[in-house]
Amino acid sequence: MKSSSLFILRSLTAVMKAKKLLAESGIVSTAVKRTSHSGEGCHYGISVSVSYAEAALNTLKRNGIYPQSIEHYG
Amino acid sequence: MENLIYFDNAATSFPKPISVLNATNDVIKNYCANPGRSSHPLAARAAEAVYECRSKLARLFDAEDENVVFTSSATHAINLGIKSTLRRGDHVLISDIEHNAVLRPISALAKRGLITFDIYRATDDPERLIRELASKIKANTSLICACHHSNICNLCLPARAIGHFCRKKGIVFLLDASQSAGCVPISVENDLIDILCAPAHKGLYGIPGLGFAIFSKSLSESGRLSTFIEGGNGMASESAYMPDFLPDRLEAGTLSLPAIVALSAGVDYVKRQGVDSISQKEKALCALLRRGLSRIKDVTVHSLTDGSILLFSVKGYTSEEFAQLLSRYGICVRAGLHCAPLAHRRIGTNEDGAVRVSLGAKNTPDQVRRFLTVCEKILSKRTER
Repeated sequence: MKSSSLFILRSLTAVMKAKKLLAESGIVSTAVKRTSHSGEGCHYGISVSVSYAEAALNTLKRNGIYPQSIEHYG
Repeated sequence: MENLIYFDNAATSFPKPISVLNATNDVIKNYCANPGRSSHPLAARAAEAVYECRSKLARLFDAEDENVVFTSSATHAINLGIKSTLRRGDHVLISDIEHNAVLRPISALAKRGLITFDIYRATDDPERLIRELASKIKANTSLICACHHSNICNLCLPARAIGHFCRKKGIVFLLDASQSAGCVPISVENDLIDILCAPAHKGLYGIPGLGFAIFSKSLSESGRLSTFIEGGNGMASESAYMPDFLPDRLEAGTLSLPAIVALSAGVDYVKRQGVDSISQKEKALCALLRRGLSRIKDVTVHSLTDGSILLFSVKGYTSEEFAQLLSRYGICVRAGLHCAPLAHRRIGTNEDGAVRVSLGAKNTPDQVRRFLTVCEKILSKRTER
């Protein structure tokens, strides 16, 4: 089982907003900048422990933040 | 420096609160990285500081975080707001108290034949103002600009009335809050403002080199915002085009992190002091100043009402001459037309301008009294000669 979940968001501002919302909900997260290997450039995401992934996703969606993609890794 | 009396807060507020100084020192010393470019700890901290400021401004002005766009100044923000929304053939209304930050870009666009514009008479009476606007709008009016508080005469336009009028007519409403941000409550949501423009370094007690434009939700999601500046912003670098969402669509290049952190601290200061409290204090000082100046022979006070600004002329001196004399006594004011020729024309001081005293949170009654004493001294020396 993977240990972390990464939600790719559309901008750095969205990531910072997400980080703050998750912190207010008691979920620790890390802002991540990632360069795509498929030539799609660099993107920002927010990484949480996989055990908090569902709660984190619900918190983001409740606040109008919808990840562009979700990955699990680690 | 201790005996200096700074009465030029409409140009930039001074001195800055110690908390602003400390915050600026801290960022320059400890984490002045480029936010949004790298992923190391300093860049992450910088990015968080930028977001924190966006968030504070959004809360202060009842807007959404993403719709806060940083610029290099209020003038830049106004140019951004105007040029990202206007299309060829549009008609614009501006008031007769607008600063050159509005008049010049509008005039330049009109001179190039891209738009037309008319000037409406500013008044603080909402009903009269709406009647005036209604008489001047045309089928192709797409933007109304309003100077919330004049930088020379304390005239305040009723933003909410203009906002409601514009929203009903489908016209974009740009509010120049350069002199009002931090001095009176402003709500992008409730006042139906589409573009709120302001500097960091006046009523919000940040440092020069930063301004912001805050967009309404409806305008930001309308798809009609053209880019104003294009360049790198640290994301989706593979694309040759700016993103189609805010704030990234309208921000390019490195943000001034020290100025943003300073603004953050300035907003905290204003909230601690209380917007109403600062405003009341400035009005009281203005009233003291007005009473004193009105008693001095050869001084004409031009200000229409009490606020943070008082404008006056002295018989026998040009405005620049008298300002120079004041500066010899350590008194900092501004003379001339104050980049507001329309407003000076409105109050009849457009020939020579006038001397402007602009008060701030750090000014005191004792400074006002000393100022009046100096004015009397200067004029008595003239009489003796």
